[in-house]
Amino acid sequence: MSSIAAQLILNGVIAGAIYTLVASGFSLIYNVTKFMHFAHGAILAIGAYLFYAFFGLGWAVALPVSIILTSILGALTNFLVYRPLRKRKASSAVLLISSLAAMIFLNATLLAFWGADVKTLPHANPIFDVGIASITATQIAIVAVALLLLLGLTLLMKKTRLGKAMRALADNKDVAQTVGINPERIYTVAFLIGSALAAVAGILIGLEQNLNPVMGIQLVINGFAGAVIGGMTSVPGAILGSLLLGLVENIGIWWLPSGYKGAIAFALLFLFLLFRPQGILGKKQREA
Amino acid sequence: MKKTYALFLTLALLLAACSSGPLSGTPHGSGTLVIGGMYPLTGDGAAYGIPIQHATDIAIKELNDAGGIGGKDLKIVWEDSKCDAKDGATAAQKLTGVDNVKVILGGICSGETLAAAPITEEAGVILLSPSSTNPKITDAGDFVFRTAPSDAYGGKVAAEYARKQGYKTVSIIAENSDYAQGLRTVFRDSFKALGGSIANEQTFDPDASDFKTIVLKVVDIYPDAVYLAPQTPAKGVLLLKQLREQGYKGPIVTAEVLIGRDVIKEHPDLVEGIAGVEVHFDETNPKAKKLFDEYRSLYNEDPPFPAYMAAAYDNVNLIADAIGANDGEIDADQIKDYLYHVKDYDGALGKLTFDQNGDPILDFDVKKVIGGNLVVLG
Amino acid sequence: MALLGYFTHLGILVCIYAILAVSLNLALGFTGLLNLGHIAFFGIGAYVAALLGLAGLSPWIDIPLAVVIAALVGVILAIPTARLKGDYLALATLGFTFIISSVARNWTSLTRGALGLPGIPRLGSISVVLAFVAGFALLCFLVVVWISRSSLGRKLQAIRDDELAAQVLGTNTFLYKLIAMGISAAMAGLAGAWYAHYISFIDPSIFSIPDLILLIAMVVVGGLASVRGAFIGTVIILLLPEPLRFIGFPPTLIGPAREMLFALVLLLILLFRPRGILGKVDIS
Repeated sequence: MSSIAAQLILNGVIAGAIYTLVASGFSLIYNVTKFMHFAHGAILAIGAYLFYAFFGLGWAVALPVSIILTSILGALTNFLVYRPLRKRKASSAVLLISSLAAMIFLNATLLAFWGADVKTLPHANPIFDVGIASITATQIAIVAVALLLLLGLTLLMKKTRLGKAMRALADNKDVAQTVGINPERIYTVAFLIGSALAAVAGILIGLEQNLNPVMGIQLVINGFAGAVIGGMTSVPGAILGSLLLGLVENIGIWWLPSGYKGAIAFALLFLFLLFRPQGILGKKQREA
Repeated sequence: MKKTYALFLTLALLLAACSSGPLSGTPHGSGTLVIGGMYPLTGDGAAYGIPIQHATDIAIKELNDAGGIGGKDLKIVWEDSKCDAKDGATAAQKLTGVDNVKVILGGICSGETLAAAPITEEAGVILLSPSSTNPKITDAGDFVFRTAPSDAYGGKVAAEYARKQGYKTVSIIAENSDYAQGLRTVFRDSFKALGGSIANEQTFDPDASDFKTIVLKVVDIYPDAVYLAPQTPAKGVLLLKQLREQGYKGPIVTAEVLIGRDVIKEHPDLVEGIAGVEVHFDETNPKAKKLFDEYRSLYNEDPPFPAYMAAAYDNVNLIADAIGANDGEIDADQIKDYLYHVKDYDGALGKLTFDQNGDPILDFDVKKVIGGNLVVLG
Repeated sequence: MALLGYFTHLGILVCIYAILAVSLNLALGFTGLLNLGHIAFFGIGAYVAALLGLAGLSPWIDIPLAVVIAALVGVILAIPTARLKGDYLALATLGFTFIISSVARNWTSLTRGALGLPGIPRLGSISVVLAFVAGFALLCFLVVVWISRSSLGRKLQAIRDDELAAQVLGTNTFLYKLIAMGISAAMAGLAGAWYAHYISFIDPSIFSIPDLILLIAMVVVGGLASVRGAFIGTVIILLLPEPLRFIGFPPTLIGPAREMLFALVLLLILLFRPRGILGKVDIS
């Protein structure tokens, strides 16, 4: 395999891993609460900025603090915005619009506190030459974490009580309630875990691509696309779809004009929505 | 029910009008001369608009402290054009229609200037921009002037430099926004006209952060040089970083973004050896130095866009001189003629002359980063 | 008298956006189609009118053509997406907007890409433009009101409320969705064409997602399935940020403060008046 081709595929894998980081939290939340939490992108960005804020205190402090704070923020968003709407029996469309509003609000907060200029996180980032391709330390971390997430989330969903409760809730909310599962509590947990994942994503992406206030928007859209392609109803599916998206994007612009890179994600999304809306690993949705 | 809507609409429009203009509480005494200003004060463009606004305000304060124009103070009414066409049009409409100004300083972004131009042309109002570089502004109107060069030049000078260095093939990577696209088109056409060949031409979306495959294509071809046209320093640095990481070690030619002083200071190793093209601007000339010292003391930071800020400073003084030559009365037609006749005006930006289209006749320098310093080449 | 110019300008913008809001309401409020592609039709109408106008065609031709092409695109988009539900439809139409935006930005030989299209011919004094645009706004208003009271309107609302039931009762829901999208897109294209000829400069930023969110806010705030509500929502959302000039925020905070206020208002309306000011239904 030529060195260029190998590097190309590696680039696709790294991009896919980045989308995976975003899609994992997003998909977890969607699976449990059944609506599209667009504000996930803003939460991700806040996680990155909180890490930046505490960066001076060293990794050992900045990492856990930013992840925990972000996790709480995500759960708070659910508590203050989505929960009241759910209590009023709002439809998923209203929830979608409310998540857009929450996203705008959180992004504006980010802008107010940290300003519009780009922030960098200076860190040692050696390049490793693996013969036919090269990869940096940060990129290795991204791929590794993505794989860990795939493993971890699959285990969570299949093996733990919490995971089973989540799946039960996702499958049939009413039946789940009758067996004693408290939906709101599970939703809170989903938001806590999902937002923590968003923080991890934000931090890694911030290390790789620097921070800017709108970093979350584009990422959540691509993560979205990845999740749909892989199957919204399956967390490992979301990860698979993101990987596929990363590969198709990078290999695609080898031949297509590079300006269309963003459109490739959407074209792929579009195709899947038309011909296989449940995604690669998803199950066909029952009418609610 | 229809009556309530009419009432509602009237009230709403009244509210909007009240929030600015004669009823908003900014007194215009008879001893003041009023002009308008439309810069992006919110949104993405504010990163440019606000510092340049500061420079403009510094110029006005300096002018007034020295006695104003014939004893009268100069006052500016600011509108936020948000770096957006429809807001540029709204700002221009409001300044010409409500505040009745005869001179507007701005816009900063080309989009807002292009949208304002038809309105100011029709009203016979001067529009003077310190930073809009879209080539189409050249033909935007008789009353439209600017002290920033058309993008048509920066790309041409870079192409000439590239040919002179003996580069036969060049790859272009440009951001998909107006300033960068202007540069890309001109560079490509000029380079080809001078006998060079373009190995490949790629663009990237303003939202993109992952250029690894774009630069991989360049590495695959390995041209004699690469011409980079990012719109902002952040993207430029990321792009350059990934270009080097993926393995291109050859020479880089660029415009002004990547040779910005902040960029060189923060990433000296990354930008070592790249050649950029900038408007000839001597930052140590006394007027510029005074402006920047004042800016630093007021705002505790280095001036982020020295050339545009110097241009904005000069714009204020050019207008003031024109008004002064008319016995302190503001007459747009007279100012227009005055500006067209300006020759070798000695300003913070350097020597300024306007051509017959209201574009500035400026020199360009090719500068190279050598040992962390920016060195001017021939 | 010059004050009138400023009012007229605001009036023109309000009318253009009102057409957009009313037509979005037709798709969203009446038919229940979560169409996030509406801004794409606006932009397509603008680009068609701009390109043809710059090529020398008379506005009597380029504006109707912009309307027709926008309508066609709307129908073409509706065909494959008709069977998608709620969130998935939103996603697909959003994707469509992104793709069109990408095309506008990259097909530089046609659209000049990011450099935009300046110098689009203006169509007379602003009073004339206001007269036309207000007239068209009224026309669209009346059309949608007429639809809402006709059997077509009843069919659309039936589709919104319970598509399965409508199908069981024999309605060709597919066809009606196409009709709704087509008319909605046609109006958006009309608004876009007039926008292009008035502002005289357009670039790919016309396909902005923030504007789309603004548009949805206009419809939601004013009230779904209420035509008058769409109009009120437009006025409120367009002019809401103005009073902020009074509060002395430092310049770097005005932008974020404005956005936060906007998001809060939207959230509050969704929480306490999910029907909007004049709305008759919830989005279900």
